[in-house]
Amino acid sequence: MALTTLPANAFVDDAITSDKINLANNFAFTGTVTGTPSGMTLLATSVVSGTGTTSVQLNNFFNDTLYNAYTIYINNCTPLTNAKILYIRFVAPNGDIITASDYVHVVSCTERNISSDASGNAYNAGEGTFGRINGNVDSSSNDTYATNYIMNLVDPLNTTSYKSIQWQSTGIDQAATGYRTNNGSVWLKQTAALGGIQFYFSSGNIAVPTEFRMYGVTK
Amino acid sequence: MKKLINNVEYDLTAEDLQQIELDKIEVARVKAIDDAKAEKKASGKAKLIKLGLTEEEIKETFGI
Repeated sequence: MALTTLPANAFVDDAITSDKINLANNFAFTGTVTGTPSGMTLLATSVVSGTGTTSVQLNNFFNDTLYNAYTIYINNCTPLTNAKILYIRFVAPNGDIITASDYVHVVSCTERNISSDASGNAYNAGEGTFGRINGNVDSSSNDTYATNYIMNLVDPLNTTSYKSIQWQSTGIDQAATGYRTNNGSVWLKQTAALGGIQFYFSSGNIAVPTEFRMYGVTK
Repeated sequence: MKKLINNVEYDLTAEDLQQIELDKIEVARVKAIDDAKAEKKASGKAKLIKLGLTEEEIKETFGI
């Protein structure tokens, strides 16, 4: 009689290989499946706690063999003191922050303000020592109005092209009247491979409940 | 003050603190440029109002 269920102790170890089971079959698992991941893989999580965090870095997670793009979510991003601007810098593979005046950024914003609309852009003239990833208006310190981000970083290990990151965010102003959708890009005019990314506010610290998550997009 | 690297907290180094001081100067420089742009926009809007345009007309036409 054919088996319909494999007993838990059917294998002496937990490695299921093709000589033990037909891997061409389809299975509807209801438990947790581990193994080679596909799609997006969570690589890093950084959760701000307390009131003393000046910056956050996600370093040494780039892997050219497995991923060619990375998505970063910043959830509930809030400065400790009101009206700050979020900046990024890239990090070299040796952990040094890249502070050269080689960054260019552009920002675009569309806003609903009660019964009117507005738009606003921001950019740096020439090059600067950081990239702005904030809308054209400062971020609120009220975590009820926290900003949420999604960012894409493509091929940070390549040694041919300038590096760039694209981002989108939603934010609310301190008066809770302006609702904004922002998007922008930051370029680093350098071709060397990167090791990570740093986030910090124009001044002051990053507040709870800000969380950072980086996912690798499988090749 | 701390820096959070891969979710591990580290004390800021002397180099980090020096960079923060340099950043304050750079942020102030950039803010001055942004403020100057905003002043020009406000000045232009005021001149348009003097020419007889309404706030709504200016907003619809120039987006300011």
